[in-house]
Amino acid sequence: MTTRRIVVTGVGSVASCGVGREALRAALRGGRSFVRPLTRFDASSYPSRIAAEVDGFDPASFMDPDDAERIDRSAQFAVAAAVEAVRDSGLVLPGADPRRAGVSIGIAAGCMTSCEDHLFRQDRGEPDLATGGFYTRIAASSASAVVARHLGLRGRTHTLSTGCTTGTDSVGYAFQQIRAGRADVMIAGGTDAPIAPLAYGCFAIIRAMSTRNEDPESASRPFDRDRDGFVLGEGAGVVVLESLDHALRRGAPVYMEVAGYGTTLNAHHMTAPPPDGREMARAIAMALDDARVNPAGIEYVSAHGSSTPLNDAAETTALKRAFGDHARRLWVSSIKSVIGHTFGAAGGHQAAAAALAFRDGLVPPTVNLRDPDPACDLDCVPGAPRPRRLGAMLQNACGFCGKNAAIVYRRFDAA
Amino acid sequence: MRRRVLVTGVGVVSPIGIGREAFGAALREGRSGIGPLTRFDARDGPCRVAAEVRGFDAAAFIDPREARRMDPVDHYAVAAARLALADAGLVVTDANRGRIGLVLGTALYGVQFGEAQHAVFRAAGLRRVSPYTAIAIFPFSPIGFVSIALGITGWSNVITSCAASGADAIAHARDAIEAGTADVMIAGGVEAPLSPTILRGLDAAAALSRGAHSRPYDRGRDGFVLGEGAGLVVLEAEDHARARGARADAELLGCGTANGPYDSGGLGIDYDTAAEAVAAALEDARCRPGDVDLVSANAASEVENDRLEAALIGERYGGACPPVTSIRSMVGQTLGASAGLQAAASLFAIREGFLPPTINYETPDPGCLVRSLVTQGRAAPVRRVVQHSFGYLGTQSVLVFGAAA
Repeated sequence: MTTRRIVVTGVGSVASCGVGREALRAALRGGRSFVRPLTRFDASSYPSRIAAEVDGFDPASFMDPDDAERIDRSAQFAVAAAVEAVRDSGLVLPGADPRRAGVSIGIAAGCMTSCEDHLFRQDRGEPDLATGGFYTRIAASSASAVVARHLGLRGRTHTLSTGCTTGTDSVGYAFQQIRAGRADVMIAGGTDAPIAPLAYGCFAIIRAMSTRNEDPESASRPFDRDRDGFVLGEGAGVVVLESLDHALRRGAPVYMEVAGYGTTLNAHHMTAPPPDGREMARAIAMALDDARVNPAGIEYVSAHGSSTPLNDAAETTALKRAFGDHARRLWVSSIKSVIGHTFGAAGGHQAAAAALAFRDGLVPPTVNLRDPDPACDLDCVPGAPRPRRLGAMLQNACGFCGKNAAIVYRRFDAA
Repeated sequence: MRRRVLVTGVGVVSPIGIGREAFGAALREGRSGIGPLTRFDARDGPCRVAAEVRGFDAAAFIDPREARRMDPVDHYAVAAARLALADAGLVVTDANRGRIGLVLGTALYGVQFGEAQHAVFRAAGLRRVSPYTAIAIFPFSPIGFVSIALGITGWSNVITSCAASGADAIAHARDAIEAGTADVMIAGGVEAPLSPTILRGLDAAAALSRGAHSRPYDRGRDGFVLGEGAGLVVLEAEDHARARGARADAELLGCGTANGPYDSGGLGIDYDTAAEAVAAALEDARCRPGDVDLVSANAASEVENDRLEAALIGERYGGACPPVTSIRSMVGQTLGASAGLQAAASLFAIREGFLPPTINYETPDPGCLVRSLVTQGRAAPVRRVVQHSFGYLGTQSVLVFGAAA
């Protein structure tokens, strides 16, 4: 029995670099970061006061304003990115059988923007969320649910929530559903709107985030010797996954093929990665094995590269472990250097960026990489994008709770 | 040829008992887990009852220093996982830890810890907030804590689809075994939603019972009673189970899920979607309506949702309706933990050959009739159980368990 193949046919994005895929594309070749002073709440007493915020986002441009009112900011981002990705794919949804198209848009922080807003209002005795649409606003599954509803989809609609690996897991999960024959189309990726006082603050107090407040644009600097923590971002990254048959039959433009997915747990510590990188290397091996791609076939790694002292070094070790001598030939870059750590959306943004890298033949750089840490001594594509006609690449992710996740993408050439 | 997935263990932390045996004894007896809300001062609130887990000692399962860094949902998850593994007689070793995984479902995860820390934040500022907040309040927490406690490094995920979460988690865990990426998967649902804000919000949405009771299908039903707990099963590849001589009374035969419209409040269930999920699960299990010995219903004492389910059951099975029961009459609406607790009940029914009762059923509602409703627990052979976990916000999921041959 031939295994079904799965391709990406549409890309959508909302991030600090702007609303839309073109904004992401420009940002990934632009050579600078979109981290700025935090404005969404008063962070003046916080140790970290910078973030990668989405500016100028108007949910009413993507959906009915009354519907937008009843959902969290993260769900609004998801709708915007999903609508753009679907339009990009040329798919007319719900399509002939709405049950064959589903959604897998993950979220990591949950609807914290709405939850915190609700708690503040309650405290002040103001009308709070409970006066209308409480559950639809706070449920973590709301983004996927609303996207399915908006597009009229009735296929399986599930929300994964696994911290920093959420987006990667969500794309991987969607890939598996199509491969198993349960769907022909899955709208997949991640979303998050975690820039709220406690959601942001809980990372600030454990010094996980950069305190380079006086120079926000250079704060997110993966693999750099002076990195001092991640910078929290917000937004949504969404791709349209489609069975190859389905895509070819309608003459869809294909960005890339999704070839394999793997995930493991460190079982070590809730925040720190183990220095040996063993389970991350195993997740990568699992994805390669699933894709039937040799380690030596990977040219580029879209790294987790969160810009924390611990992660970037441990990830380098893991990549060397997974790829052996071939690691020296890899190009490794982190888009978090440009758009910050978008938490639940990170894997979705990585997938979007990967699709663009295949389409444009251009590998995005790691910006702000001026003085590489000797412990991060792979080729991390500092500063400027590099042209390359990619054959196969790896998307890598890891996060709090010790989960590791990896996806292999491959070039698809129409015969 | 699909790799058969057996159930070799179960771990339960519930409002009616902790551990498989205590839970089973309570099901047999028809014990109610609903009582006064004691977790916080509920006197000024809209709701005075809940299905609380009682007699739970986190220290029996977790080092107290660690327990302080976790939300109660993590306590329940670690406890249920330890109980499940012990029930399965499985020891984690360096040789097998990479082939043992974990998929959990949860709707509201660390809400208690989050709400408490937000109150601290509002009163005293960021500097007083617990440094463990970032690891306790997000959905990823339970798989982190469980994997560290048990030393397991295999396939994992967390799925959040409201009350269908646990079923979706079990289905995804099965996929990992069938794909050969794991031999053993701990899977199910965990929930600890008893926070003032959640109760107030659900009350404002008219979801909770004002009468303070859980009486599925009864004419006096007026909303659910919120409950908490964790239900986890050990799914194991048949070859792996046989090789180590593990006992397996049951097998996971089928999973079905569907997504559809939902009302503006998000808490309504769509008939067609639910019916589709049932059909998909039965088809996946190659189970005909006549093969079903027990329907473990979704009914949570909700006016409209119970009615829709009754109609759905009537239409699906016609005149030959198998026995139907709802354990939510005893454990309340445990949201993401529901399917896990239902799974534990399904396994009990199969293993013990006993149909647990739907308690508090006093007055039939002609518009919501289930003729084969089990109101008195009774012995009966149970070879196939279909369990409904109809989530909110559109996703409905169904599992089919069978007696292991």
